[in-house]
Amino acid sequence: MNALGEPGTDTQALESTLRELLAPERLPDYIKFARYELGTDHTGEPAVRVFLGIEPKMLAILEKDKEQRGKYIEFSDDLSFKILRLESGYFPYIRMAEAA
Amino acid sequence: MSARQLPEHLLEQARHLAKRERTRPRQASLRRALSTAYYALFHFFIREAVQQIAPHLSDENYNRVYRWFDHGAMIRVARAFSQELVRIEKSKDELVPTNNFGVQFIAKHFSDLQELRHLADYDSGTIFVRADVLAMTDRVATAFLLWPVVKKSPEANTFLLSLLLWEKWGKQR
Repeated sequence: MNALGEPGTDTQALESTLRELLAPERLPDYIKFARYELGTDHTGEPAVRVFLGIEPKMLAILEKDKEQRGKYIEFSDDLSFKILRLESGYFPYIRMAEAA
Repeated sequence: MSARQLPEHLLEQARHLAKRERTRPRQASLRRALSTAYYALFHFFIREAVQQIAPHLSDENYNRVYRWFDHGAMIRVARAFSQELVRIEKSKDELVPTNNFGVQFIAKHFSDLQELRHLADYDSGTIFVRADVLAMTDRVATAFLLWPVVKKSPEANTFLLSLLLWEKWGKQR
């Protein structure tokens, strides 16, 4: 649902954009996979959850190195706002996941 | 006792919890860190809203006003203000035609943190990653730094007023 309480972009269009945004060639090298789930958040509103898979070695670097973490924040926030600009009604939540 | 220093102290505590274990972090520490980071931003918004709307309240009444803020209403406002175009709820009318990006950033991460806080407190199956938790505390710190730059903008004023009176914007007469 969009801000007017009406359906926004159809799910197919949203998913097509998500596949583009999360294509491996558009991800930083240290992100080994990206997947998403459509559903609802804790308030029952439509949500898209994006998981970015990062190897343990890189996660350890991100824990210690604030500058590297800053670059990750920049990437994931840019992704969030690109999804928000679609006005699909699905609110984006992006999280790191451990890539085996 | 006034709660006016709570946001900064809660953020400090969230960071402490996230870094509590030197090597393998306990999930309990990461969960409490996220919940604490959420409350840092929650109390920050309330403090800023009260300071701008009623800067000369007594401590006693300041503490009373705290109870007026509701988590559910605040996330509805935060989700709306994460967008560039903010509309009045259930209406075609534009409340903020071009939102300030700083306000969008702060509102977006309040929404993120409320969702994470819910997972941290109620979903035992979720596994949290320390680097991600630290990234969230970094964003709260950025929000605290960004706020003085944007707080006098019409968009930030509208945001703060909305935290208390979101449904009222749709009132016709």
